[in-house]
Amino acid sequence: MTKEDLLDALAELKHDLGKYILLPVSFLPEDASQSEVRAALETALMRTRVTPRGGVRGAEDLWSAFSEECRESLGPLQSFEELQAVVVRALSWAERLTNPVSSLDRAALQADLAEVSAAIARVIEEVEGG
Amino acid sequence: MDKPRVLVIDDGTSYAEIIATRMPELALVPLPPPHEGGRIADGPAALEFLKKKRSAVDVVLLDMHFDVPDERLLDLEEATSPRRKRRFQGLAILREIHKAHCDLPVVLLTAAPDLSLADVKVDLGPQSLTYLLGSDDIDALRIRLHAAYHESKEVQIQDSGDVMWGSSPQMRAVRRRLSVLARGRMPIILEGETGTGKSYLAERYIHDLSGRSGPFLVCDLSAVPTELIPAHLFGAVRGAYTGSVADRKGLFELANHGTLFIDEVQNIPLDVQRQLLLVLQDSRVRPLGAAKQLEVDVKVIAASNEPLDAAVAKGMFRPDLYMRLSPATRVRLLPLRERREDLEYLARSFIERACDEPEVEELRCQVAQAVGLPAMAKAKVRIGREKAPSGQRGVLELVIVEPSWQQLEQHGWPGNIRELEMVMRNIAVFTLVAAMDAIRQGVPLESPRLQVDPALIGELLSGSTRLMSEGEEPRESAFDSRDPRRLEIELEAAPSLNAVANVVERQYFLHLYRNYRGDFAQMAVVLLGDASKHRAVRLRFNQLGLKVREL
Repeated sequence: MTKEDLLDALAELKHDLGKYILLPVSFLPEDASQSEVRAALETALMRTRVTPRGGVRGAEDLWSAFSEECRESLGPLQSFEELQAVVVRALSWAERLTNPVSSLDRAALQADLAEVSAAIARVIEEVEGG
Repeated sequence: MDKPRVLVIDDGTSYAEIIATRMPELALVPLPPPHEGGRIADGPAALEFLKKKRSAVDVVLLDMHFDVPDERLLDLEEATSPRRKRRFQGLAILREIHKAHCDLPVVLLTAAPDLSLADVKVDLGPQSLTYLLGSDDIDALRIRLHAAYHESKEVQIQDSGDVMWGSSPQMRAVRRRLSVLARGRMPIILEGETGTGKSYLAERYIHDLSGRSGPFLVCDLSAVPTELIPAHLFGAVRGAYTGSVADRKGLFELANHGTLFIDEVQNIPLDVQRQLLLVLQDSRVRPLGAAKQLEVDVKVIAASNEPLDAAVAKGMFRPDLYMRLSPATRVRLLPLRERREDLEYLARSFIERACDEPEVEELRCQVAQAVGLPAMAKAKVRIGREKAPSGQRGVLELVIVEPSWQQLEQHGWPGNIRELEMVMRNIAVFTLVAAMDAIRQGVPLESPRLQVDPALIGELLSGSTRLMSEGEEPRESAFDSRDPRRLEIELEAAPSLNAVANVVERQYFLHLYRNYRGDFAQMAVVLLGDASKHRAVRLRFNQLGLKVREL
């Protein structure tokens, strides 16, 4: 991949994963109930992208597609290693969805999801710098 | 009050959901099928919608990245790959909206904090750019949307008043900037060519908006002898200088709690610039010969017809004064040739206003009655073959035919707004006079439409075209090189004596300027018999639309 292609792919990831994984939770009202937080989390991870092309894609699917395309080019980068860890942590919140009685710490959830976008930004920075 | 109506253009539905759920004071524009989710998902669909329903939209909220099929992407010349087009699709859509609906406010939104516009050249003009990163930014978005909405409304309101802004994105940006700067205490630097309306805006907009209780005063140093400039600006006590027989208040003291407009600030002598710097720093003035300083609260508007940083580079303006005036408050007023989209609006307004002026109104009433209209029928301008809008019966139409309009559009307008206003006023008056002459001679006029004589427009424009066209020399047939005061000039008939006088004066000034190699003091000796009046000569030189830089 050329550097420009890589940057475009990262921008796409930031748009599809970084942005849409965060928005549903981020813009919940202050006094949102647990069920509202749960619904937002489900949207964030399972219906991350509802595109005008008619597709519904989850966060894991988006991440797999990106990894497949760019892992080889990004492999050596420290920031990419960190991004992988951050995405795994964010995706792990999906396990809570299967357990209806587990409570969701909204602040922790939001911080983990927000970290995805920040980690992608660090990769972009390293690619641009390199 | 009706809620501002927001059209969301976004490939996803999140932003529309945020508006719908978190901003009850705004209304999403209702969209017909197949649009879903309260938004339009791509550029072509949005442009199609706006073409039919522009009036249903107050503000556009536009996303940057559009993940849509290739065939739904608008071209973006800076982006070659479809991926890149998607990444910056918001800019392509923004440009098209600008082209088709330049009065429509657009808030461009992105969730990407690393958005770089540097590699995509685009003139965002006055559009807001908002970074929406988290829930804390909802208010930022709310403020941007409301500001964009109110700004567009204010433009329409302001245009009905004294100041005509037009709708070009650049002038809207100037208006928005000045509306903020006017309210603060910081000085403002207004840059712009002669005739761009610097003093007019300073008085009618900035001072009015500033809420200051004191007067608006103009500092015109062109007619003040150099040695008296400090006393003129800062005041003097009796006996401070030869001929000083009484205490004299300076402009800073007179303008206390008000606004002082310093015209052609770049021409202030360097030693006076130093004193001016101290006044701006301390908000105190010491009149010449006085022991005590006076506290003053004056908002300074410094105007220059050339970029002040260039004057600094040439050593003509003190860098410390330039920094004190604050380059951050620099506002450039565009020459008319750089805001041609406003020409039609301004031309119409000037003609219609001229017809309402007391000295023209009587003439307009007479013509209106003669063609069977009520005496108080208003005048309206019609350009080319445009149809009269419905409900405009009973108006006196001044018709500018298409070739004449093209001539106006292609003109360079070196005298800017001032020149445009004079040409349009003349168009109004001459057209009404020609109609009245015909009526008096018994020519029966059947229609309330008066065609503006194409030859008149040609003549009105010819003066400045002849002299200001690039590389074109004035029509000097010969001059006596032994006596620079003698000059032979060839003239053609012009529509008014004023136009004739201006043509003569420009040629004479230009001739003197060349003969004395730009020494205004020597020109002042020839013209006014007094070298110290060089500022007055320089001022008149500028007023005639002559520019040192171009000579």
